[in-house]
Amino acid sequence: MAVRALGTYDFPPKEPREDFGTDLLVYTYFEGNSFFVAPAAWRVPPDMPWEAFRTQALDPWLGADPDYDPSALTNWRIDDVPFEPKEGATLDSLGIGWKSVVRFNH
Amino acid sequence: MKKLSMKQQYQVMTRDLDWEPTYVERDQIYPYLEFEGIKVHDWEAWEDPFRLTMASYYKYQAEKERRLYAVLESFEQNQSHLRLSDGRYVNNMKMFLSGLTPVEYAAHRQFAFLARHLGGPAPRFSAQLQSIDELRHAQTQLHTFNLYNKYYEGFDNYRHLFDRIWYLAVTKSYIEDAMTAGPFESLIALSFSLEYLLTNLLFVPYMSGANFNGDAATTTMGFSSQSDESRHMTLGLEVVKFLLEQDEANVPIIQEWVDKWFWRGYRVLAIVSVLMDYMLPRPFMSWKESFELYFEQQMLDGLFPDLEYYGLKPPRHVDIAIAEKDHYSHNVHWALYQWNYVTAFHTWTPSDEHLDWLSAQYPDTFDQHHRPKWEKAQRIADGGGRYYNPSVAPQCQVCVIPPVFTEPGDPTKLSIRISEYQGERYVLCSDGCQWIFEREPEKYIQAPMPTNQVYRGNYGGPTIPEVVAWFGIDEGVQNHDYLMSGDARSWDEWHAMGSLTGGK
Repeated sequence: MAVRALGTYDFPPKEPREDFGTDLLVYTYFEGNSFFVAPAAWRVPPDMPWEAFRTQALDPWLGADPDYDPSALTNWRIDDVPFEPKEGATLDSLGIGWKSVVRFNH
Repeated sequence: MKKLSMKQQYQVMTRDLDWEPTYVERDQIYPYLEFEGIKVHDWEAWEDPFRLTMASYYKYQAEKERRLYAVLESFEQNQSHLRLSDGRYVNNMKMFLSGLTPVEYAAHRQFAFLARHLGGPAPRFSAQLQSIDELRHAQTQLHTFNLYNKYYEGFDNYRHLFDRIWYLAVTKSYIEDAMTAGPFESLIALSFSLEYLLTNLLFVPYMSGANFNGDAATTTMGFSSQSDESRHMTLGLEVVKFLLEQDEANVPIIQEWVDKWFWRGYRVLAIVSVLMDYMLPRPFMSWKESFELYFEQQMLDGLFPDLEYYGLKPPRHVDIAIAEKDHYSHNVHWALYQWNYVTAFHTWTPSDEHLDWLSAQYPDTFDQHHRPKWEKAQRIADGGGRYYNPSVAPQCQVCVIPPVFTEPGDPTKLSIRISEYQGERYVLCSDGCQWIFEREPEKYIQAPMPTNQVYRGNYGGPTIPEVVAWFGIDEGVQNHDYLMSGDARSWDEWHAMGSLTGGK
């Protein structure tokens, strides 16, 4: 159903992808660990190597949990499709795209 | 001249003041009455059981004001804030002031619009009174919370906070969604869904909580508003019945609005769930219990069977709200606690006694799903730290709450929905918000999401201190744990000085 309006109702989105340049917005969700109340959001370049993403984004975030064990993370998925993180691979070569939801658990 | 009866006065002083236009078309005077698809054949069928005139309205309201301001004055003179249950209590009022008082003011504007643009003199007059009521509520709240502003941090900048802080985007988005709808939808949103379906769940816990925690000022302010709310509730019910009776074609339109605005209002009440379960130093009733009493019993079992006669069904997604009642406050407060470095109020780690109370209120779920998180946070606090979540989260494109809610039936898994529109992906927190988004995506794509704005550099800069400053939060003053706050220090000092507490 369309918005019921007096006239033509056609407005641009507030946050179009172009406004983020070539960067990606990526969401990460640690399933089964409710110590983190919600998924995290990151603005990252698509050619960022996985290792940099892990050490600059995931580790500092998840390290807030005193029981965090980086080696225990498993079952990696991008929007429910399984993938295997590789340290040297870039995010886009791993298949991580605009507003991908990267999921993992213990 | 013979004195008229109340009924005659009402007729003469409200309905009879209307006139039929002669030199302009009616639809030029009332341009907003057609486009939503609502059909009204007879505006005269509108019933107003209160039959107030301006003269009687002002007389009643002036009396209420006199009583309220007498209590506020005595509260101030007696330094009654010192007799609150605890210094932590005032954080409820900070949330109310920055999140809900601006909504009252916005409602005043919306009802002024309705008082101009509805098609009959009786509903226009009702809307006029409600517009003045809402302005009065905003004013009395400001005056009441001003009593606290002199002694506690976080009360001085509410309007700026409302426009900028991420969690206040929840109530801001709610009221702006209503104000940008047509007149009939906004009536269903505010008069029916908020003022009728959900108002008891909002006001009764706040005011009873205030009373239970020694806050006579807020209790009196609440009761002063509550007497207006009963008139608003009657208006809300009359709006729905009137529109449903006017034309059968109105029924499916009203049903969709009730579906949408139940869910929108219910998400705003997440803040009330937190108040009841976590923010009152002396808790008195759980969210679950009040949801069961004020919503399931009064509305689902009481109101909706009556509305069935008009063809109206209980709101869509109400089953999810019922399924969430065991987890709602716990998930939302866990978010406010771990992001307390970007809020303009304090939180604290609940005491063991408080956790025991929660275990007793939520016997089937709390110990298994929520207590362990608080105990881990306590462990961190015992080691001299404070648990903060250093990441930012996406927000739901409709309610603007991060996806912190769990799947109905699986409290270990977050409910995250993704919708695509015009090649773009949008995050939604629930089936309820996703349904609302997909009904009118062209509206919700215009909404700013706080995290996206931070990442675009629009919120003062890319770092947390810059964002905190841009929100209007004084770092280290209004945010962080209560135990580290100036409020806590003041509270302890005042209570160490017997003279201020009346020799206690």
